[in-house]
Amino acid sequence: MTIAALAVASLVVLAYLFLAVIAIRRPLLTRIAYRQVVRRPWQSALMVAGMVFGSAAILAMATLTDWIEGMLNQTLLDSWGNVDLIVSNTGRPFSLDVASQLRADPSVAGRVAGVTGGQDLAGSVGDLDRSLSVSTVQLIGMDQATGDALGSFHLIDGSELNPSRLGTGEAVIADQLAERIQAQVGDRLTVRIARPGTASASLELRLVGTARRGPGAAYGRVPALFLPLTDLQRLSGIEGINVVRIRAPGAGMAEVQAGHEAAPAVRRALTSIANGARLDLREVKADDLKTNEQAGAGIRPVFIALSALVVVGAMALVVNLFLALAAERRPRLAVLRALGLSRGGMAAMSLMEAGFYGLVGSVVGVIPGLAYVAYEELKPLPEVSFTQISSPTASYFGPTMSSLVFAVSCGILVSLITIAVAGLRASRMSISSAIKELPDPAAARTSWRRWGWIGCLGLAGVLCLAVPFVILRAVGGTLVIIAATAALRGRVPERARANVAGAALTAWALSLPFRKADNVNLQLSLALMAIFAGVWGVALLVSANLGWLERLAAVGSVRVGAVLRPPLAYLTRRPTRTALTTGTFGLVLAGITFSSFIFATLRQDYRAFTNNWDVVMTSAGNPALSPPAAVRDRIASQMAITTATYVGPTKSTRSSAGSTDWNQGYMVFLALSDEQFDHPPIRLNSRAAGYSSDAEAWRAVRDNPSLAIGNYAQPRDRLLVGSPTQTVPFDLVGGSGSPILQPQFALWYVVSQRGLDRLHATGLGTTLLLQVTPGTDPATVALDARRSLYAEGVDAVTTRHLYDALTASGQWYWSLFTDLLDASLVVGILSLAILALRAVIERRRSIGVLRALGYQPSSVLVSLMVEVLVAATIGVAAGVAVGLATGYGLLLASPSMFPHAAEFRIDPMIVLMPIALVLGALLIASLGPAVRASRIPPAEALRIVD
Amino acid sequence: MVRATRLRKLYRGGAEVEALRGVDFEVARGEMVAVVGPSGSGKTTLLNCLSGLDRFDTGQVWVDGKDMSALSDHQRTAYRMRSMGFVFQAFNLLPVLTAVENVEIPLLLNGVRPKEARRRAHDTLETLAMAHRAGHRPDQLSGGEQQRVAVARALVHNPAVVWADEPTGNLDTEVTNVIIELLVRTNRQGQTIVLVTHNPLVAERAARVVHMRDGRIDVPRTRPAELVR
Repeated sequence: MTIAALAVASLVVLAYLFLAVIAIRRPLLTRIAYRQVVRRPWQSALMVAGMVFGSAAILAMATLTDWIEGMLNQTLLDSWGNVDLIVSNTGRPFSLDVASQLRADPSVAGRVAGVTGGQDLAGSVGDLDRSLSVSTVQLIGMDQATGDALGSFHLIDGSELNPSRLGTGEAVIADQLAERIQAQVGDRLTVRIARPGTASASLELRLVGTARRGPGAAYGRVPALFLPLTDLQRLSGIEGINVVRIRAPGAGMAEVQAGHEAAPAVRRALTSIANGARLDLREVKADDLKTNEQAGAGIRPVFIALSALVVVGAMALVVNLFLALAAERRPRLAVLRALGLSRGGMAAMSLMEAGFYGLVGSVVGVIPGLAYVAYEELKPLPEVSFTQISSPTASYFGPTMSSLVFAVSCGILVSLITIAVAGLRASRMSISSAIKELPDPAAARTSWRRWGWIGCLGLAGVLCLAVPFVILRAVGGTLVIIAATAALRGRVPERARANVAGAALTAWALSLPFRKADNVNLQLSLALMAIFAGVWGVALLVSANLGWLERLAAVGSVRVGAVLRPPLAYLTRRPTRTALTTGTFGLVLAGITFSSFIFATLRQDYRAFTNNWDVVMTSAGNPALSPPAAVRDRIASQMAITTATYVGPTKSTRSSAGSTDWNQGYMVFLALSDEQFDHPPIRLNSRAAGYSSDAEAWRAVRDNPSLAIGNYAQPRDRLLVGSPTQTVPFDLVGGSGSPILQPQFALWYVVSQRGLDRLHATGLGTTLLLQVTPGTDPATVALDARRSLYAEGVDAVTTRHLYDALTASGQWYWSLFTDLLDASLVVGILSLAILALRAVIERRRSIGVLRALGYQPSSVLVSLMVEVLVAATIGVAAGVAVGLATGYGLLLASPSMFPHAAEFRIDPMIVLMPIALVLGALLIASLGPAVRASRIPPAEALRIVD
Repeated sequence: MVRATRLRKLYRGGAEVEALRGVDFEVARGEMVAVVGPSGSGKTTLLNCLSGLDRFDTGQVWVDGKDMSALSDHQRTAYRMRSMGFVFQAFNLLPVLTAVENVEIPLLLNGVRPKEARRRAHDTLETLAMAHRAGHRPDQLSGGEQQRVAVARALVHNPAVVWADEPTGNLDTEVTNVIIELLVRTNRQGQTIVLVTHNPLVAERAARVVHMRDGRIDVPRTRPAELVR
């Protein structure tokens, strides 16, 4: 259970204990509160529905985060099999004796479950019987004498196979490699690897089994092939080993912990071995989990903040409904007040009512929340889901207890607070006026309580502004504006106050995307803050300046103007109230518009994305790859880039996602020739500030071996490879989101040849970029190239396929919460329909007067519909405007978040479809209350009691 | 001006209540009639039925020669718009409109041009000594001021009849006198007024007082005309 969940749950328990005390001490209040709940079941159901939405949204986002984190963590654990610790020498070989001596060390032997030496290299694999190949495969050499220390291979046919039983010329492959080459037991596999200083070598093996990643001997973060160490040594020409794999006792997280506890003993043992001190020990599982946690640390707040858009909408619905109920109950409550019920007692009664609604709503909210998550989880994962892992081993993770408790508790707490505040407001009444159903006389303008609230709000704002954290500052500025506006109440005309507040909030909101945050998640959080503040600001500005609508209504017909004046006046002359209602609706639309912008702008231009290359051929075993004869005549131009795979300790400092600690990395380095630096293979999305052009950045990498360009890299990012004691640093001067240099979507870096020489990389191969002749189908060229070279483990793919895969990945990720925003439009519609209902209840007497003065029933219906439609239009306008402005601001302020030279774009259909649906649904939803209002007999509406 | 014969009205709820039991009632043009009686005697029901705010079960009502029972809801509404003014106990001004905007509603509904409507609304407020509060909203006005605005709204379009239901029910004695003086003054200018009241001081100022009890007109009493005129 997380601290946040425990804290919120504790507050809920305290709140209910408080309610229990009230219930025991004031049973009459409890009875009245209970009667209020059951008196109008449909209204209570609506109230609960609002809370269901709020709770469901929080749960959905928390559980989605659980799911993604859980899937990544489980896959990372599975990707290491039974390997918990790895000893390596920055990728360089060392003696197999190291493994023997570690095994023999009693302090190590007592803490670990097994030690075995081996080789981890990269190469290409082809299935000679299926004519399919994978260009970059992790080749894992298992020491037949000691390999059983890692346990056995769990084969997909249900049997097990010990590594020691793996004979010469035999291989086991991991499940994701078997899927790619559709391999069957008995198939002939060819493994190709580049030998230092000589031509590449290949070896034919017989497949004896396909192993599942997870607990067992099989592991690998990319498609992996297991073969006897001796076979791999013979193939690679490398004597000795380059890794020692150590298994800790236990399973799951207990195993990770055991590995962590064994690590100091292994380090001590290494220092006593000759040359052992220069070897590096990695807690591979713990490191990966930590890296994943660091990389994803900001995702949860962003997801929860997104759910806040829905929660605010749902709570506005609840407030509107509660205030409508309070207006209806006003005379009865006034009688209770006259009989001696205090304001506190009334608030307590509201709180007890809220306690019921909140509990039921939040618990019931679990069902739609989980249904939403199930819907998202059932959607097929795109080909490229996450950059950290090649393919997930686990596909479903239910909600954690922590998320359930957090969501339900948050739902209850938000409901309690919302209704308590609304209840306090409703309890403010002139008893005599309320009993007679007369309007309350004007309230006193100032009170110490009001100034106390304003002071607290302002002070909180100033304190937040003083904290050097960009999100708190954003909140602080907003609080200060709200406090200042509240202080102006009664001192300036309402319209002027609304204009000042609206302008200040809008200006503050527009400035937020331009503030520099430390990482992408914070930048997105700032954008969300801008949406919150901006929507209210624009809604206030629009509401305060709608007077022209009243004049416009009278232009065509005096009678129409007379009919429309009252409903329009309700909107235009209560700008704060109008803005609060319409802003709620606007929030959802702003979220949708912003998402539409993100969708459209992140979708890269295909030509810019591919730099006009049509086909990519890759091999991790052949440094001299060239197009096969079968396709040469269809190739207009080509570029062959030397590649190498680095498997070893790494640490990255990413300005967009924070730093990670050292972990066992797997990445591809591409070394360009001087000529290729002059005509780079791809376009950059971002470059460091010191370079005036992309060409200058490329030349800098050419001339400086410690500089690099990486995928998704941002200026100021840094990559360290080697080990903490033998570090090889690379400063990143540019980045690109294009995967055409690494079609398997692994991390890649472009360096100079001298840069590549700084590290010990294996899997020397080629990335071959091809541009086909006009009129040639790139897919045919890729297919023919694969068919020609599968035996060499060469892969070929069209850039269109890579583009589509990456676009689908982005869309899938964003759809996780845009689906929620779309669903939450229901809240917006209900909210505005309740506005109509509230109008009917609160203005019953006014409607009666207007009917007495000559308003036809149709006039009442039209006026209410117009009011709701205008309110919806304000919400739509504010939402769309703020969504667009926030997106545009983000693009201007943080261009590095977007593809190269990205232009401001939105997908109009994503915005227009919901608007059309919403307006249609809104008309239907508000028709009921409007018809009801129009049918009220005037005498009944006036409630003239004889 | 107003004539009702054998007016009967039933309220059908849990138990059936006969609010009007065959009432015969007449108001002459330019007359000011006060309907008085204990609570539940049917005063307001009578006023609602006469003014077309409510339907009745049997009987007939003629207002200015129009048979109200023969009119549809739409026609009755249109008739109210043209020919009737209302003053209520709870003032019932629209809270979002200023005093002058409240007053001009009947004129605008009758199709009077906005400028003309504003001028006439101002004039009416001026005659009620409320011109200086024309731009204020109801929540910025006292109870007496609100009721004066309500009276202005009832009179601004020169209706055939003004119906006033407990117009002073929420006002203190001083303000009550002001309001009743206004109504009497208007009546002297020829305006027909029917008012429902509990207040004997108010009833005394009417030309005629009609007593109601248990849904029936009790004992009609006529005051000397000179007291009123």
